[in-house]
Amino acid sequence: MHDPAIFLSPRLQLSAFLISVLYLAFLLHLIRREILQLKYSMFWVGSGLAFLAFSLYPPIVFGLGRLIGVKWPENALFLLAIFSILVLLIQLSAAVSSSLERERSLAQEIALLRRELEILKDKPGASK
Amino acid sequence: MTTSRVVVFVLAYNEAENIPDVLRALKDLPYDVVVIDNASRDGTADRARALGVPVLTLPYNVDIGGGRQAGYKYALAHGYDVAVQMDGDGQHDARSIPELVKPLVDGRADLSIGSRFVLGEGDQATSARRAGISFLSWLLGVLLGKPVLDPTSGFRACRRSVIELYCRSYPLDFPEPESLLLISRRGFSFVEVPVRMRPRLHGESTVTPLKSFYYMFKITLALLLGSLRKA
Repeated sequence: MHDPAIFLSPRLQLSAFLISVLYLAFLLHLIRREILQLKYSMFWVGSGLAFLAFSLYPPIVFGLGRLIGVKWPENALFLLAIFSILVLLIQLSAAVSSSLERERSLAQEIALLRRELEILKDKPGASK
Repeated sequence: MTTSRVVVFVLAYNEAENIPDVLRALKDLPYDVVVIDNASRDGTADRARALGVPVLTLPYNVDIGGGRQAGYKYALAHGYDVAVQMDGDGQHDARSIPELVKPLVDGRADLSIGSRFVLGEGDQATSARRAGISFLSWLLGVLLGKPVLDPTSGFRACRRSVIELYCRSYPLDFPEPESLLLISRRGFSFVEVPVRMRPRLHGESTVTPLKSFYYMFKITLALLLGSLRKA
């Protein structure tokens, strides 16, 4: 079995911590500049915080591994990461679908209004 | 009974060569006509306007489904009782329109499909295409519990109630079979009316073999999922 003490070397733990902090800082930057909408940044902020927690206290990963029933804690981490990314991708597909739906009705609305405008221009003075 | 107001909308994407003939054939009929120009780049809209036909110009291409739905929205906004959809490539014979409209005005159905297979006359499509159509025909027959000979025909007419439904919800890329499923799940009825179809007049169809295969896969999935969806 893994010994929690040697799971992360101090150097690796420090790297992980720094990377998490940088990652969170970058996200914060994107949110403040309104490049990323808050709605879509929740997941990323959540993942950043989780990563930060792991780097500060690696045994969390062991607990997770036991919870899921995975022998190697690293695999528990990968499994969770992949699954979260899948969920995120589905959420993005849903967002794209609804955007396309709006884009379509917008185009139709513009076409109908253009026609209305044409009719109005053809009949100067008339109210309709 | 007052006469029904009928609009024929012709969906066209880069059909500048075909659209004048299509529109001239419609001139003799007592129906209003509008061209839905799905953001053509070949002057389709100008050709139609030159013949005095109103044009609905979409700012960008919204696929077949989006274009058709624009037609239905036009029909609803202008208070028509019956909307006829036809393609701008000249495959659909305008002379068949009165027969499409008749069952709707008589109250025999909510939607009518111009079917090239009822009589078996005119253009019968290529054998590969026919095989695809028979498969869809079988699948829809099972799902709807009622045979449909020509489920991919885009030559159709429908009443106000169906127009309203289509304005709210209309399937996307290859909408013909799916839009049939949609109406029958809402309890609307349809009939098939024999029509003649011709091969397209000019230019190439947008359908290639690979696309057809993809289409069959996608439409099958769409129909199966569609029948799971809440009505």
